[in-house]
Amino acid sequence: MTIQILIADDHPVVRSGLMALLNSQPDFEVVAAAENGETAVSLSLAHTPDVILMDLQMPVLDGLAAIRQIRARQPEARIIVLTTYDTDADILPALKAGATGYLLKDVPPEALFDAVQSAARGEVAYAPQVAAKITRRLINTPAQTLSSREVEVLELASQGNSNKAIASKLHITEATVKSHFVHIFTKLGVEDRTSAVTIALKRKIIRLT
Amino acid sequence: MRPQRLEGASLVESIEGVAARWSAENRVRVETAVTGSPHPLDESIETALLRITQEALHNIKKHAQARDVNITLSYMPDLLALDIADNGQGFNKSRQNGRGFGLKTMRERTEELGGTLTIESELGKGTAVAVSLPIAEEI
Repeated sequence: MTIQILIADDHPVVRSGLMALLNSQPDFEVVAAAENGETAVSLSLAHTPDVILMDLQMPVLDGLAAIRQIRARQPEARIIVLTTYDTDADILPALKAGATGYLLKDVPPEALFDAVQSAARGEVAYAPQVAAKITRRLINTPAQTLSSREVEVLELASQGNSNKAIASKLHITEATVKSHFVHIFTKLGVEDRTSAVTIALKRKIIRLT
Repeated sequence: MRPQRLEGASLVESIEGVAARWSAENRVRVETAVTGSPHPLDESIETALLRITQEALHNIKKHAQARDVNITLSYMPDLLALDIADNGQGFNKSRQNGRGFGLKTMRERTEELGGTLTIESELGKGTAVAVSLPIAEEI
């Protein structure tokens, strides 16, 4: 069975290079190529390819948004990110959006072929350095515990201090106090300071003085 | 102003060094605090933060008549904040009294790195400057 592939990349040379490379394989067929995320979404709907190779940085609609839109309408879509970027800030959102693979553009052709075949079988395919980052992420789950500065900020809030008063007591700007609150809210899973103080008191993270 | 960076020194050590020298030269007390878990950042970010610290201290010397300065580096999961607060004369934000220039360079440096510069001041109540920069989530 031929594996039908959709390519999305804003660079024409990359697109034609990938097309030639993939079409050189007897069991691959590039059925469509998109120059931006928006076209990728509509071509994916039109062709229902087995595997999509998606660049991240593209005009009109970027790869991340395109992955989300495609997965929303075609939950079975197998999308491999093919990009130059391998920072955590690129990898994690792409995987959360539903990418099933993540390759870097320096990938050797054989590894790209293997990844396309794995993706078509419904397996994941990560570049080795990406897999290493994901593994590390799994082992060190991000601390949901508050830092001592965050506890300090929350304690001052529980004593009725405004952001301005907290800022002045800690010799920092209100802007930074607000940033601390954003992180406190995320870690505690709340949306406002009253709930944050309530939960922190309940969990004995802070005490009423 | 060249960053007076020691080879192999961490950002915290470098900022502490700059602060200590400035403090001794100007007889203004400087306290440096670090919160969160410090980790190495991109060299471009660290160099910019060191330069911004020097520029902020230079502004304080020129305008603030402060007795105390507090420098705080806050390492948050996806953000780094550098706050420099003095207890000098402060200024009215609508009339910047020629403080514009130093702040402009600091703002440019910050924005080049995709960050934001915040200035908070009140006449008689000191000035606090914060640079906040996005950093990659640690994994």
